[in-house]
Amino acid sequence: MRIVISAATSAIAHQCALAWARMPGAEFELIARDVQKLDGFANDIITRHPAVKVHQHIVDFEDAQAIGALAQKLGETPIDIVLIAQGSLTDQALAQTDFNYLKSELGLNAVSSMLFAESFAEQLAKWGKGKLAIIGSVAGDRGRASNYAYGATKAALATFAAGLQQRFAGSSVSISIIKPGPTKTPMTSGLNNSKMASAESVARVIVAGIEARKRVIYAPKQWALIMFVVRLIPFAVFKRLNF
Amino acid sequence: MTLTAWGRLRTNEAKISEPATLGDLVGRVASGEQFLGLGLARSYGDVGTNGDGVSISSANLNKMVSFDPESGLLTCEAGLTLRDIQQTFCNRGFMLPVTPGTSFVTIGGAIANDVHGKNHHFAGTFGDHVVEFDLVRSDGSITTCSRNQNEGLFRATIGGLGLTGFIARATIRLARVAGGWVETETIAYGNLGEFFSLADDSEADWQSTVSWFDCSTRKAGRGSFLRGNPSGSTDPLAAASSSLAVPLVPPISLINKLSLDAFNIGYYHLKKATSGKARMNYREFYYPLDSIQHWNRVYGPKGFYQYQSVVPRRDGAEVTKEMLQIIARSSAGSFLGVLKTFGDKQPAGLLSFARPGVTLALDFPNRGEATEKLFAKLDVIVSEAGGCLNPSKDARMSRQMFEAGFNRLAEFGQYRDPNIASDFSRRVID
Ligand SMILES: Cc1cc2nc3c(=O)[nH]c(=O)nc-3n(C[C@H](O)[C@H](O)[C@H](O)COP(=O)(O)OP(=O)(O)OC[C@H]3O[C@@H](n4cnc5c(N)ncnc54)[C@H](O)[C@@H]3O)c2cc1C
Repeated sequence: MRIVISAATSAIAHQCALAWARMPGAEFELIARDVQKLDGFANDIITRHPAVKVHQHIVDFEDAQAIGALAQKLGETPIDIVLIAQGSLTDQALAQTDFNYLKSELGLNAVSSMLFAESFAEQLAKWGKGKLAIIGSVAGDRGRASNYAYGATKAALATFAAGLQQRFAGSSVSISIIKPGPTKTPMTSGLNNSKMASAESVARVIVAGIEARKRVIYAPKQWALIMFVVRLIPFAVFKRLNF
Repeated sequence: MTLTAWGRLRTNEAKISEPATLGDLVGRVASGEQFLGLGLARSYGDVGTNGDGVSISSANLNKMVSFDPESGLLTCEAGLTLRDIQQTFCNRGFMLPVTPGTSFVTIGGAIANDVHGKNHHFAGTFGDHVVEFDLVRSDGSITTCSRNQNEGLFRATIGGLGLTGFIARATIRLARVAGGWVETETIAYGNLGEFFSLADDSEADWQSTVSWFDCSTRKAGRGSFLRGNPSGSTDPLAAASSSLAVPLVPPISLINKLSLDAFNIGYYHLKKATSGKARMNYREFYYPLDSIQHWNRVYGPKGFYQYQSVVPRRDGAEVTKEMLQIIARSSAGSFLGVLKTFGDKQPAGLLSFARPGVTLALDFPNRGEATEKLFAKLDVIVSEAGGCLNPSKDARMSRQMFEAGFNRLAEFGQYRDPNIASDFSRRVID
């Protein structure tokens, strides 16, 4: 089972990797921006699962050409799973005043993920099979005052994934959009995160969802219902809510 | 963010930071701000809390770095949990050589409290199996410490209550085992004399020994002795199933005289009924309470204390008897009384708690003054016997009691990091 993970140094992606590593025959192509950091995560996988093969790749997450070339290279042999996990929790207040910051956040959270999705979808299409999953967020389901700069990028990814799904419908290429609820990771460590779901439990849901070729994966699962309700709240009520 | 130690006696409004890389960590440690290292907050009292100040948590430093199956040496970041290590290695023929009674403990916390397990007479303390570690100090330095390199700082940090620096990563030696199983024998005993003969007789042939006893009824002194050895079984062990939890804090303590007596008597008979030999998986044997998450909540909003003493073996029987009588009379009774003997190994760290002798550990619901009075009486007995109390369980011992029990405190002082303090250090050291 050959698995490509971009932003392999994110906590959720790493927990997914550990879950896959427990399965027989897992082999990883890990992609990240920071060599040293990636090395630490790769070592963690190998130390826990000495039989697992791990290859590391460093790339500039916003260099369209480089991403395409990497996908091409990795796609020379068939890929079973692609997980695209980059993302940074945008500081909404800062994004409203510092437009350079806003721009770079939009770039990483939306553009970079789409470049990876497009590049790797092409490789899966070439072999006529494979599962591609993109990490979005429940924050993309409805714009909220507290996090719309972040939420909008995640909504864009959901739409992008929906398009890919239609494009590959009826083939053996499956596309999933993952919508984690707030998760206890380094990304949320500034927030009061003690009640959040663990990255490990979120990863379990994701791995099972990808395996089942689900189009939309809420993790933990109860977020599907919560967001269903949130989307239905009339604006007249919604505008007064504070969450 | 709120931070509560295991005893739930107090809630701190802590500033918790969770660095995710070594670079991040060094930046926080050397920021000039006073701080304390934080693991999983499984210490009962105040060694792991820092008032409303900064706690630097190892929550995101939980990666394994390398493992050598030849030597059993595991290098890992300090936030890695004992639970994770046991689960990862038990089916690969290795386990931790020493483990406390819960697996929800970090490597950093296990070193800083130089924790002990049921096999002290066989394997010493956790610190005895630490080969080296990297210590980050508030001057921005990263010092590798081992028995050959910076030995003073090494010995000060083992059992050093987090006060010498932040442990970033460590190398520990795992023990070779066949698998995750333990061959055990449970024996009911009727009085303390029987306990001590069982303990003595078991030392040579059994790696682990421990006992639970009843201290709430007039028959105080009877209990259940458990001993174990690693099994030769190589049957693979499935991962732990999801556990029960006490979902919220009940408005009052559920531990009262009635429920206690019922529990202790019930526990005694249960153990008596299941006396004999059995093969247990390591979780049942080492971590019987880990299957109920947040069990500490049953003591209600006021929380609870654990009183853990160690006294020299010479008068151990007499002293233990006296303590149990006082406790039984006080009817401040205890949910779980643990009695065991420590072996003759000398402590690994300057401030290590575990030392040759007899150790007694009891949980008491916090009933304010009544509980304090009981502890004061017990303190006198422990002090007169030349014993001491376990800092990782303590929230109330006096400065004199700490100084008397830890005679290398002055030597320890030279290794302190000037920017680290805890509620415990402010109470009894600083
Ligand atoms: C149910 C239960 C059973 C237990 N049984 C035993 C037992 O049998 N034997 C025993 O010895 N103990 C036992 N304990 C106590 C427990 O093992 C110790 O308190 C342990 O140190 C807790 O580890 P922690 O990771 O939660 O650390 P914390 O409680 O968060 O911190 C403990 C100390 O370590 C320091 N520290 C934490 N991380 C670092 C770091 N990276 N660098 C420097 N300092 C650091 C803290 O400042 C603090 O002083 C038990 C506790 C419970 C709840």
